[in-house]
Amino acid sequence: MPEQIILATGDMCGPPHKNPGAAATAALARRLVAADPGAMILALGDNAYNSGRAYEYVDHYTPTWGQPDLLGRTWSCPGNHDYRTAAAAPYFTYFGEARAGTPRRSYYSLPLPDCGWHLVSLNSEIEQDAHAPQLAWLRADLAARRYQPVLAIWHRPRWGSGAHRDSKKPRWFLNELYRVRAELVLNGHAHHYERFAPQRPDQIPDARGIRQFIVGTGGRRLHGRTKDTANSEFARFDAFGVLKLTLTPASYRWQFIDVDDRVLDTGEQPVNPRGA
Amino acid sequence: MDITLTLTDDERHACRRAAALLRALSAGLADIATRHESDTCGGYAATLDRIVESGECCAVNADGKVDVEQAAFILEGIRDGLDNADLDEGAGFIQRDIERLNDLVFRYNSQAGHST
Repeated sequence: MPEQIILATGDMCGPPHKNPGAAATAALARRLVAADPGAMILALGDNAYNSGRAYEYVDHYTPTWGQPDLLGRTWSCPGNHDYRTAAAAPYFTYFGEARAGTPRRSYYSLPLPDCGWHLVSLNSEIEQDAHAPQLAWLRADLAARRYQPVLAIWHRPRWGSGAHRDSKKPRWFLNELYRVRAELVLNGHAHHYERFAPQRPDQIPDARGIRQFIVGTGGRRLHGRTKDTANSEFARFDAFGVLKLTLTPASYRWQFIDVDDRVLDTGEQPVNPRGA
Repeated sequence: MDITLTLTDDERHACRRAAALLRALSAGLADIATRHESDTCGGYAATLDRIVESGECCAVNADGKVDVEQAAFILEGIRDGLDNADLDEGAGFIQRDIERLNDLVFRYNSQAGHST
């Protein structure tokens, strides 16, 4: 069965006393890449603290997640800390247009032919509402996609049980994604790991809905639980780690792996049925 | 980068209420002798005051935008504390204000991207 391995995490690098897990998660990613040389890395934003400045990417990201063996296979979405520079320009320069977009068009998509999925990277740090160009682009991109199963990434989660809790704005993304029965959304922002059951954008459980993961466990100091959230199936607030996805045309499998190589969460689900 | 933002009434009210909370927090922090934190929170309140006083259109620079985001983060902590103490109505009010502050941040980021 053709497959694509995805390694995802966010909120990684910065001064070691505030980002104590970054070197260990990068080392974990390196071990996982050694086992799966075709793996892609998805950086879920806030990759270089505190402000996404050019020197912060050079000083903090490059020595760990920015080494050629990892950077050369990394695609990203921007986080709120990246936007503490003017228009997040250093972020876009660091990853390049093909891997991050540009300050003017900060969202992009990518077919994944090895597994027959469609990857969409969105920007939760700019306007997302009905009138926003980003939403019109998303609608058109999804309509034109070659592969039906959809994996979307952006930084700020719609739902969350840790720091920052819920954010209303991404509901616009979710509405569009649910229309095409998208399978997966990966977010960062909150520094913990959490997996939700498939659900509709209005939080109604739906086996054909969208499964959301929060993987803000890339290295920044971890946050604790602040509330209970409907449809949250599993959460860990005490582990740095990486989400490993195995995408095939028929299913997706997930493993949340901590920096000691322990699998803390795992599961598998078929892609959503489409059509009538 | 200076960006001129058009503010809704809700956003101005949210800035005014957030400034009031931050001023009170700043005063409390000064009382317990955490000068740096007191001054910083006072600075965020001053930025929000300036936005409110600007009326419908307000010029915001990059530092001012970060002040608004930092203010929203501090409000998240106050919201969580009220919620833990079962003071739900106040937590709900603050949650709505956080959303309005974030709206300003997103709009600033969008316009900054188009200005490059």
